[in-house]
Amino acid sequence: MAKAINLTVLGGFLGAGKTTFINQILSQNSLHNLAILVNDFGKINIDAQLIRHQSDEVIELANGCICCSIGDSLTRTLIDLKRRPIPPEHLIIEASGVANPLKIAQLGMAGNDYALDGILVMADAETLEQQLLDQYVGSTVERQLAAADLILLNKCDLVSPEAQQKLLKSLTRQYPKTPVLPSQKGAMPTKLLVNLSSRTQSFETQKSTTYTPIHSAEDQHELLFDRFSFTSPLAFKEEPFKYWLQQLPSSILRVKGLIYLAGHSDDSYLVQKVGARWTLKESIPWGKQAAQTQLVMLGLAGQCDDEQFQAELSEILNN
Amino acid sequence: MSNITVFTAREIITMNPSQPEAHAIAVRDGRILAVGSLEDAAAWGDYQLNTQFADQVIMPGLVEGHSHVMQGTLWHFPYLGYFDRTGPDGKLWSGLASIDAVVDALCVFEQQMTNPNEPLFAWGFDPIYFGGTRMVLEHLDRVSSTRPIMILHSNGHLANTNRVLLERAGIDKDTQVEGILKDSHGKPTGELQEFAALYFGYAIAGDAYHLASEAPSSLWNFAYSAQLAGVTTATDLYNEVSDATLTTFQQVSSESNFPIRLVSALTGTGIDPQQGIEKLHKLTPLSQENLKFGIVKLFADGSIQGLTGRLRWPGYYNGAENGIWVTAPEQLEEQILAYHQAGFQLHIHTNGDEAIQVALDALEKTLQLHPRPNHRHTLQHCQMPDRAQLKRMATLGLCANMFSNHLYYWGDVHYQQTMGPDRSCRMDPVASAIREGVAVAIHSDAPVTPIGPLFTAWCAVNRQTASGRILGSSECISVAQALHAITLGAAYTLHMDQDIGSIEVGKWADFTVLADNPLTTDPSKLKDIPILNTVLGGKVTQTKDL
Repeated sequence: MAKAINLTVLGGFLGAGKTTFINQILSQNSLHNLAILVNDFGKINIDAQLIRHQSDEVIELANGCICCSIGDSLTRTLIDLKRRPIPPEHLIIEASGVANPLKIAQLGMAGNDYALDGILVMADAETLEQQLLDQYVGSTVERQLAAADLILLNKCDLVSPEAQQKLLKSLTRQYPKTPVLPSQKGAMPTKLLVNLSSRTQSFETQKSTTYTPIHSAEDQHELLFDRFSFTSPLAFKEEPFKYWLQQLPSSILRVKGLIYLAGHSDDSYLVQKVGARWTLKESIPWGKQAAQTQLVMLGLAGQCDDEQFQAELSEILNN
Repeated sequence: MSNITVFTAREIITMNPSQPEAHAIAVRDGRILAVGSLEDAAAWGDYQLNTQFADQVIMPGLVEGHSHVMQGTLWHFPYLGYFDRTGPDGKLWSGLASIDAVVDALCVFEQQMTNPNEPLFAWGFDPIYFGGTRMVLEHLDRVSSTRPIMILHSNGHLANTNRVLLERAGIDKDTQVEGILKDSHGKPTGELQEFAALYFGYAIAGDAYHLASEAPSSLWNFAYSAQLAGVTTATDLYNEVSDATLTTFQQVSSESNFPIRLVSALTGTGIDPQQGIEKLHKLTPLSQENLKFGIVKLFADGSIQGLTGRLRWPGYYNGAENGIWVTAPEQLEEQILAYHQAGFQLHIHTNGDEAIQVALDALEKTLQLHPRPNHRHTLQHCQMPDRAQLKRMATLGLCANMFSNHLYYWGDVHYQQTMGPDRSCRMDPVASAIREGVAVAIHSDAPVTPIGPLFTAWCAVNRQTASGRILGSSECISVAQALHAITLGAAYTLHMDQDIGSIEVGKWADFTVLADNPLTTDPSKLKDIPILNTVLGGKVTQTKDL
């Protein structure tokens, strides 16, 4: 059976910056095997040098990424995508400005074709309050935010720091389980969106449990984040590990990794967490490689207690 | 041989107020040359006399102002609805009044299929009349335990499947998705609701449907369905018009035996207005006698029976939360402004009164900035306008194409659940629209309900629900008003009343032939008048070869 395509749904009301964000992802040229389905194909703007082929409905990039127009039927587009000779590994669907992204995301919560990674909802810091009060669209915006696994509060450069704090506070109060990330001009590290630890990232086999907080800045966006990696040759018991995952604070934006679960020494388990949404499922066999947990976490800078995480994980392992 | 043909009839309803009745029509070059007595018609020289309708009634060809070619796609597959429906070949598909009847019918189709692996796809299933009984996996497993089965409900938003389909899609008791229904033991029932859940059905069993949607046979099926209902001009009121579709439309509509004129409206949703405008500039000059472009279709809200229409206070009678915007109000305003400024005609889907309000505000603003006489922008469905909104529509020169078939098919649901006893009286208020001076048409929205303007007229005249309740008798219109709505009224909303909609000199010779005169038939029997033939551009149309 073919592997499920990882699915991210990108929601948010008109003007929240979804298209800018998508243009950035496509231009960064750092992602491979990514497909993006967009509503307004005409607004996609990529450096011509990156484009291998372009038609009325599909742009193929030299790095293997594709961007397609949703067109008449999202269903049809999704069926065709899954049947491509080489299907993408990851798909981002841009929900329309008035859609409830959860309705689309459900596609990745069942069956074998798509596996939901998370729902990212963008909000416009400048107009959000006004939109929420609007007699016509208030409930639409509310439903979008409620569906989010991660809220990107965009256009923070257009409001005062005080206004930004006020918005962050009110969003956190309204959606306590959902991380809210301030942003400017739709900037967000793509690894947060798509793949925290890509397959190419190699973990050296560790003989002991290691825990590495990284506060270094790979690019300017990284300044916003703290990144932790954790590796251990010891096995996690399933229930305590799941419990730990669920109780992580909302300052942890993303968790991803391969887990060595007690009683499963042949097959690795893949864990993914975006905001409050998480999955833990059987993945590739360990094969010749020794079984070992390889976990990466990404959290809001300065809001994560790395010592506590380390203590918690060690405690689960040693019990 | 003369190039003039003269048709005679027992009665001719011309819909031309200057000359309401006639007994003969002379036709030349596809157009009406003369109307009146046989003597009047004969005055233009040698002619061939066609007396095949001499004992029958001729009226102007009927105009369906809101339908979809998708109806023709669905006719590639078995129909399972509660109500009788006639296929494009004239075959009567009797309504299926119980789940067992649906299962039995499916068993017959299943046995006719030769490829054992081919999925079975069917449509039109309508369980709302089965007293709350839902279809479950076991029903469809009786049809086949090896072949995937997907049956689409009449509303198009739900489907039922059998066990094989769910297994292939990887759906089981562990699946936790809102739209995948489960029984009290937590097992999926096979009912799929809305986009995400339906995806699994289409991914396994929808290939034949998608293939058919691109086939010329869909357009032929659609045209024959329309023809059998007495329609000579029908709309396809929502289409991306891809290059492939354009080629099909052009080729099929120029065939000499194509039985209707097709009006295609370009989808304006999900496309940048500038691109849409470019496309309309390209398409409009390609219009020909049987194919017309130049309309853009926009969307405001969802549907009232689906609880997705946008309502003003106090909202849905059953307390459901307000519906959805298909297009955000500010975006709709941008679209309206752009297409209006570019000179195209707008047909805007609006069901609930809040959606109507938003459309009216945007249109009024646009028209203040850029007045344009005779624009004829049309609110489609326009199911819940109040009188203040109708007055505004009249002032702004807007037309209403109302969904009168709803009164019959969902009237009871509207009375009991969506609108309640008071507001359901003003659903599709054609009489009020006429009183307030709004130009009106009425429609079927096929495939949502069967195409059939005479039936639609019966709905607007009688306002009777499926259970026999009358919804708002003061909104009933006369038969003459209803006939106007399904001919000249609809033609007006398409900017075609210069050419079709009445029998008068100079117009295309498009006629519908009936067994009886609707104006002298008991209004409650309007829908039962046999439709015998149509004439398109002076030629008697041929039905589908069996």
